[in-house]
Amino acid sequence: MPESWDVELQGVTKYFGSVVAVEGLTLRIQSGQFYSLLGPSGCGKTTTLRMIAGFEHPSQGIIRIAGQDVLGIPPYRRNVNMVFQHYALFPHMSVEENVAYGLKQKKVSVPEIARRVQQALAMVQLTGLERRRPHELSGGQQQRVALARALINRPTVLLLDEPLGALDQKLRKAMQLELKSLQRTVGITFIYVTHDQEEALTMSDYIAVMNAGRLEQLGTAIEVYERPRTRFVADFIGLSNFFRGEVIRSEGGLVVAVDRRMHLALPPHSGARPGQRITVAVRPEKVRLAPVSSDAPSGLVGRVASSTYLGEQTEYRVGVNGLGTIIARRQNSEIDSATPRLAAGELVQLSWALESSLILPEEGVASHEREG
Amino acid sequence: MLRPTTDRAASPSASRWLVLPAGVWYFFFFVIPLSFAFIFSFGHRGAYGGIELGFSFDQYVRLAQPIYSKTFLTTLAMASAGTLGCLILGYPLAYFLATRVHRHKLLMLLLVIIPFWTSFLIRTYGITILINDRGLLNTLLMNLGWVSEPVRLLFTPWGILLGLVYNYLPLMVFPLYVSLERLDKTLLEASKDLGAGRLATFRNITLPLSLPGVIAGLMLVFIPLTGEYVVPQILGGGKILFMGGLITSQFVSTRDWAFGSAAAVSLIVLLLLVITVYMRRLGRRAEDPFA
Repeated sequence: MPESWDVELQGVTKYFGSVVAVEGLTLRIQSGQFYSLLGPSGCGKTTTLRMIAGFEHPSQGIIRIAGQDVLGIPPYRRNVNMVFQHYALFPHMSVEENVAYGLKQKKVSVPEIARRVQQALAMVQLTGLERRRPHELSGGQQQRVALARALINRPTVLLLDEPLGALDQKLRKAMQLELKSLQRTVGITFIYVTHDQEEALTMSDYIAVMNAGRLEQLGTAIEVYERPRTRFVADFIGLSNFFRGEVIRSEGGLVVAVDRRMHLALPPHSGARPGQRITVAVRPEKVRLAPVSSDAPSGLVGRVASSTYLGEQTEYRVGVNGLGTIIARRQNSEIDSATPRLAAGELVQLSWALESSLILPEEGVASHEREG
Repeated sequence: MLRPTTDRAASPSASRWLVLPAGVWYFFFFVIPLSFAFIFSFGHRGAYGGIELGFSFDQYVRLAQPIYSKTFLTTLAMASAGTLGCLILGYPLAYFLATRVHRHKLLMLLLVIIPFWTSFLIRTYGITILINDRGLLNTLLMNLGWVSEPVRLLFTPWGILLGLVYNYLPLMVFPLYVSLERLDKTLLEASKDLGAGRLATFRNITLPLSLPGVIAGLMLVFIPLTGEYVVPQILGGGKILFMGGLITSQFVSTRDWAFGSAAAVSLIVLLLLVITVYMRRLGRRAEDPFA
């Protein structure tokens, strides 16, 4: 092995009875990374995390932690710690006792435990709350206790199972940044499970997008957002307009015939071949809208069906003959006298830069059916 | 000490009426009879039985005689032993039912209470058949060659203990089961994740969090055991007297209501003392899981 990985999964498959929860998953997680497993509920991300922790055993495949095959090693002998979804703080113990629990099991000396508990609580800004019981803390504070309780053991890898799910929006945003900076400070590998694409994009060095037990795409936040490789990824991370059609040759180069009349130009070097059936995805924020000025407009023309004010942006749903509804988003800060707000019923011209068209393979529907 | 886990929003004036039916019931069938017993205990036996009211502590002084105080001690000792026996047998069973049984859970729980479908008296007489000198147990032991003489169980404290544990076990299992069943299983995972093995997890997490169930079980078993008189009568052959038996005989055969009342009141006071002391000690540790 030329490189060493903190966690390595090789062809891991997990069945629950006859149901496949995880299928042939291969991941390599480098030391010190903030690594997210992102996907809808039921995609197998939590099962994956629980297999790394040792609560579930893979039906097939190998899991290595710090190079060591962990098959048969129980959770209490693995050098990983977990932050549980609802924190799982011990209700009959004080904050201090909760945080000290791991070190006590390892028979660390009492003064050493006291020192490290203080250190851990200072790290998560909970100094002064040592004697409180979990139920006397706010959600955010409980979250920090759970973090301190896990990190005090200096694990090789910290596993986080949707740890911010129970917090309100504002606190969640603050905790996202805090978690990220905490991870940088301690330098421990974080494996972070979430269904919240925005959360994953904000925090992660690397994202593994999962669907129906399988890996859809691996990459940095920019890669999975800007260059989704499957329709699922393009749809799950952010919004996309999808156009399915066949690649044909036309005067200007390759185009996609979405239906007989409607042709969408493809970017150069798209790799598409004539005759191929593909899906083109376009992000709503890449779609430009302009009021129709001339009497004989060319290109894509549609009628604004609705406009929704979203704060920073306005979302327009535009009905286009032959293509259905196209969603476009415009920054509200860009609205001025030259580009006024559009009203429902208005005729608009739609356009987008060629390179904004993402080319996705036409997929077999069965293997990528979305789960609830 | 048992605080509710959730606060339900309800108008206090409306919910006050909810205690009315039980309140009326307890007033007429508990408070009033108990007051009678209290008043009777200061009186005397009438010439032909019954009661002559008065105000003297004669009956309580009589109770202090060695023969009666010994009955008190026997009762407490046997009730404690029976409760302990129920706990030792009941905890593993409740633990098993709550954590290891996933299918047919209801059926298993039903099996625990099936003995209750038979009359208490018949069940207890049934035990005499099992444990008498030529009973099933002794026949088996002798045929196996483990003992040469029958093991004497019937009409001994051990026989009584067996009957007590048998009859009261379900009362211990149910509260234990409930407290173990609702124990958040992710807490056990968290404990293991933090390096605690199975035993340490049980000691640090499961046991302390099931204490409310333990306390409820101990109460449910210990309190009726102190008043028990059928089991010692049948399985003890009348040789071992419990307070329950003493009180019953004072009312039924001796017809000394004053003395019987004094014994009953003393038993209640004694129980209150025991329970208060032990709630104070255990209760402090069990308080938090409810918070």
